[in-house]
Amino acid sequence: MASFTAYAVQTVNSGLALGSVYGLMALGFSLIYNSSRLINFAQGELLLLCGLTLYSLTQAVQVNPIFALAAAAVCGYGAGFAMYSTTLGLSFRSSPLRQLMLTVAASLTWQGVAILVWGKKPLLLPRLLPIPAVSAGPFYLSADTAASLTMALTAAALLSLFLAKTRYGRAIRAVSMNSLAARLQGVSPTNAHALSFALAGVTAALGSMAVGPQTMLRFDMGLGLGLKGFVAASLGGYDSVWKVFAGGAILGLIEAALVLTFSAELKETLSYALLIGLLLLAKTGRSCPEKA
Amino acid sequence: MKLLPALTLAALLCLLASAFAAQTAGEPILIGGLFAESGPAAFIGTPTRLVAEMTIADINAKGGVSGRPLKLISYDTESDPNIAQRMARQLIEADKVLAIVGPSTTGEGLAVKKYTEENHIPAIMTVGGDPVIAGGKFGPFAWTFKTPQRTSTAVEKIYAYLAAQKITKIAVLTAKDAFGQDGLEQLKALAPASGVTIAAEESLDPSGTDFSAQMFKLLEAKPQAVVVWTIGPAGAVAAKNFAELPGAKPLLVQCHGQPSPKYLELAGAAAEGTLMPGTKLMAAGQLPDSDPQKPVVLRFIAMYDERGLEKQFPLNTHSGYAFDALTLLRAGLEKAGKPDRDALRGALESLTGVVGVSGVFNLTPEDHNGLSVDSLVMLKVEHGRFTLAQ
Repeated sequence: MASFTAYAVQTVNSGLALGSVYGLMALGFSLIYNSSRLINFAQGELLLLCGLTLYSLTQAVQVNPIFALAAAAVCGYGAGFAMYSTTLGLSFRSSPLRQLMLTVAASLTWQGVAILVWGKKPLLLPRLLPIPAVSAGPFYLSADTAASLTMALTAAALLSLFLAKTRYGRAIRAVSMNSLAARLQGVSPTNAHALSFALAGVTAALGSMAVGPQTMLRFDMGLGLGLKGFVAASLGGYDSVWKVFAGGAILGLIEAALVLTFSAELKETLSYALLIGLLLLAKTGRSCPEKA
Repeated sequence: MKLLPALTLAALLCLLASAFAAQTAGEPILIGGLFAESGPAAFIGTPTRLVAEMTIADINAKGGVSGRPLKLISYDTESDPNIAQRMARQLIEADKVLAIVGPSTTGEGLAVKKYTEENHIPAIMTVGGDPVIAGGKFGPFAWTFKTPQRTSTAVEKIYAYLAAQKITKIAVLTAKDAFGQDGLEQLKALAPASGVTIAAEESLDPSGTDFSAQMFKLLEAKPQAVVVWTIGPAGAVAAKNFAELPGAKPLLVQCHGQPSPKYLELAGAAAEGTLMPGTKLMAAGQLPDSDPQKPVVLRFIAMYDERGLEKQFPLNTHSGYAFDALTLLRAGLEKAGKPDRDALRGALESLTGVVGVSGVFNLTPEDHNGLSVDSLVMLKVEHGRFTLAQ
């Protein structure tokens, strides 16, 4: 029994640590998907490059938490915007398939840049937020988990406020609901798309702050994390910030439970098997997504 | 434009001349080098070549071997066993080297060995794994030598330390690659004789980034120590995951491939208090004056600094292996009295008391490594530095 409690506590702890990161990635995914119906395969590379930039920053100067968050926001915003300008921004009228391939190409190119600038060795991004480990009775969250969770929950809350309450947020939602009608009302879809990429960049940058101290940053981590974000967004159903975030947390918990009860080797196989299942279900469940 | 054919002719004549002159006094003795300078093992292979070049320059500055300088011809094996074997062939057939130093990884060593054993070429390898000189299913090893300690020597060192701490129940986390498998086999094989029981085993992917789950399961078995057997960043990841689990912790012991500044950097605070066997390079300043290796180690470190290698590749437990390979080669050549492969092989396997950076080598026809448990020290990380563990 004691052992069962220990397993459960550990599952929650390590599940939420990575689950928060998946949640942040999923938020980025669904922002872009909702505004432009595009699956951005380079989402993981946004996280990678922002994380590596933050790493270089910590090597160069003393970084306090506020400065780190500001730097992450600026870097993520810039990187997201740069990614938009080089993918969707260039191919606004192209077929969705071509746009998709552009994001795949962007993913590989950005990974190449990461190798050229930072090399292939894993780099450890230090913990930038002074959030301590939490423990209450048998319940326990390590410092990494607590920091990831705080960042992810705050980001989700801010994002949902932004989308609900601000003019720009409403513009993104309008474009997402019906691009043509939004345009007739004077909303520029281009701006909404660019903004959604930039915001996705910011969530990815926060994700890098969450994942960097846990697993280190390495050139090849982007695709895997990006795909996990995609699985999480599919789990959450793309339509509400909180559901999408919950998708990430649930994916993290499922993975942690599987790894703890069976073996670490099953983790990737089962997460992607889950994706196949979800995609098959989604096909029948939401038969035809409305055309923009 | 008439210069080119003339030059080619001159070059050809020179080559011809050197082929004839190779056996006369004063001409360099050619030594082949195989180093993984690119690919996953580049972090070991590149500094190994630099140390080999440094050692050869040092030997030549002291008059070479019997009045003849050594000359190193080296190739990059790209951490690939097939390329390593092809380069070994090239060294022997095209470059006509006398003997080979390297390669860098166990897999490459096994591939190169197939060729060198068949063609009777002495090869002094700097590979970590034992299979190259294990015999049995890995084939004969009459012409193959290696300078890093055997896996079993490192396991014995760990078990001796644990016995002194009255620790009998351990859990092990080993890499899934050849190096980790070798470690697991030796950990299991030597456990009964050392009075150690292995309460739990888990494995890790050396390129993985999170082993919390494995570590958690190991700790559930309530061991008194956890032994991690992997090289590269995975060891630091394991230490971090270990440190982050809640509750009281047992000892964490890493393998003899971990001691390097990179481990301290990646594991950070989680490295504090972790233990590992290492060569005496890692705690040179703390060695007692009675240690015969002390002057050799200190001199090596001075040379290493002088050539500016410390900045590029901070000194780690692997740094001295190429120095030792060439030290053995020189001792073998001097003992053989002539640059002849048969004589060199015979001399190498009867060398005794050769003091190197990694230990005092006493080779026999059965033991082509020649290092004992005494060549290793137990290191403990304290205040972000490696210190001798008490």
